[in-house]
Amino acid sequence: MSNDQSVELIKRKYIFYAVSGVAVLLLVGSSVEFRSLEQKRAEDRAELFNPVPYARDFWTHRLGGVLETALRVEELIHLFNTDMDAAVDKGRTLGQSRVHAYLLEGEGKIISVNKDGLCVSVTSPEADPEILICAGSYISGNAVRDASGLVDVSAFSDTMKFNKISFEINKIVVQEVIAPFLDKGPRPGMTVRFVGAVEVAEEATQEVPFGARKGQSESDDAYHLLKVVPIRLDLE
Amino acid sequence: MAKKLFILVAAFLFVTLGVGGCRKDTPPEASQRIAVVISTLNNPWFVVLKDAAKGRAEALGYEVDVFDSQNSPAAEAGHFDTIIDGKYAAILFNPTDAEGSIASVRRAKDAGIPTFCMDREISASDVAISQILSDNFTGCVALGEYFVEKLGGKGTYVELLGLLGDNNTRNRSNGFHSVVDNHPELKMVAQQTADFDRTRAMEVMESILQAHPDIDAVFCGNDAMAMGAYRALATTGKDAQVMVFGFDGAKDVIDEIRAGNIVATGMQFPKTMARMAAESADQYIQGKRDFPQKVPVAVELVTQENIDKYTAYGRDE
Repeated sequence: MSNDQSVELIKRKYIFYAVSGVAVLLLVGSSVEFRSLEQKRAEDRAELFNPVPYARDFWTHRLGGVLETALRVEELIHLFNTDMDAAVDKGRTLGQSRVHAYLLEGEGKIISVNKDGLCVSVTSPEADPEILICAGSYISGNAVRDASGLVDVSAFSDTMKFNKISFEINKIVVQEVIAPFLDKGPRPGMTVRFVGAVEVAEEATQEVPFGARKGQSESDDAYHLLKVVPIRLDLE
Repeated sequence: MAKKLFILVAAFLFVTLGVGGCRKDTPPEASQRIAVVISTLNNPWFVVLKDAAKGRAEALGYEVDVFDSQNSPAAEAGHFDTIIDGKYAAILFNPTDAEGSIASVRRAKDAGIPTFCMDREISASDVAISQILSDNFTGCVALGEYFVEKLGGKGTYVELLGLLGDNNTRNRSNGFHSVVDNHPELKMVAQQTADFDRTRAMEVMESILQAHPDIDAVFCGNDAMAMGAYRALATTGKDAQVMVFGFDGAKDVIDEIRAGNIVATGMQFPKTMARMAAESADQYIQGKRDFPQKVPVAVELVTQENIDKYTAYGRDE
């Protein structure tokens, strides 16, 4: 074998190895999906998502910062009863909905106390209630989560996680707002000061304004009341 | 010889890198075709969703092809192969499975085809361009509150669940139970899946009634199952005794609520969701890129008291 033939053989060998190496790399490469570290971390966070600490952080560290934006309850009721379009402009809306959420604050006289909560008059004359401050054994819905504007549904890989947050926030309201308040023994005639959240449908006051009677009965059910989920509650 | 091998290597690299390596960033050829992929057309509600998506996309100037996945993730994956090969401009997508459908949407994304989910979500927030979804949880909170009110807070009931792989099934059930489970005198005696299917619901309900003939109510995760349950109750003469609650706002249930036979349903808005998805796809094709990942569409409680405000699949405006 001449020198030229040996060099040619070595060349062929290297080219063969190079082609094989590239082929192997391409085969392995096509079987592996490359994703950004941030994407992987986001997925890990989603997998590890636990609504209990999320709700606790929301309640302890984040919610307080937005409570100063709460609207006065009497102004809001006036808007709901007289100019729903203007009221809608002041609320927060989740996606496409005819229901809007609001943070509100105020004080008023307790007219009655029942299993669902406190019927409270926030405008004068203080004879008829306009609001029900929810103080029953449980809270449902998304009033606090959505009125705060702090939780973005698009940040969650699935809406079940988003909904579990409301469930946990509502439990905190029952255990840490309602229960200690009821221990103080609220009674008719007392004045209550509150910050809370409401969800109101656009047609809520179409037929009967908040605070007006919707029936002839003398019970609390006779009034059309704005249901307030409490965030802060105090007796004066 | 070395020259030949060099040409072979170059050709090999060109083919593999040209097709595989650059595929991710290459936009599809300009297309005016939109694919509408629906989980099943064996349910009138989804037919309305399909018709509305197709109608709106056509009105916006697109050619539309419809694909029926027949509740099969495998069939759905096959449709995506066809769509990717066909270089469609966008996909209006009603998934079969929140987890199982992610891979198909990711493949479409990698091929440069945007996907817009309608009604049902996929459990990922980085593959579809936008997901326009019924707010099932909140809708079922309202249904749960009405359920408690109608039963006076006590009694026995049955729950019929939809497809277990669908997030809508769990969101509806979770919303309902977030209210009802707070009433200890309300006892759930059976909870079974009927796959969102009317015939299956009738069979399941007949079977449950043999074991629990004295129930007070049945909560169904969609209207097709509510109709199946109602037929089973009517066949056994228990339709006046048992209150039926559905979810969807389908025509036959709206008719039965109006007739006083079914108590309530949650009105979803398939036409609204389909219209929004088609318009989002059009905006994307025109160059818009800023879309919210999840857009919940509110579900409204329809009862015998407010039925006059509603029509099948929507509301009188």
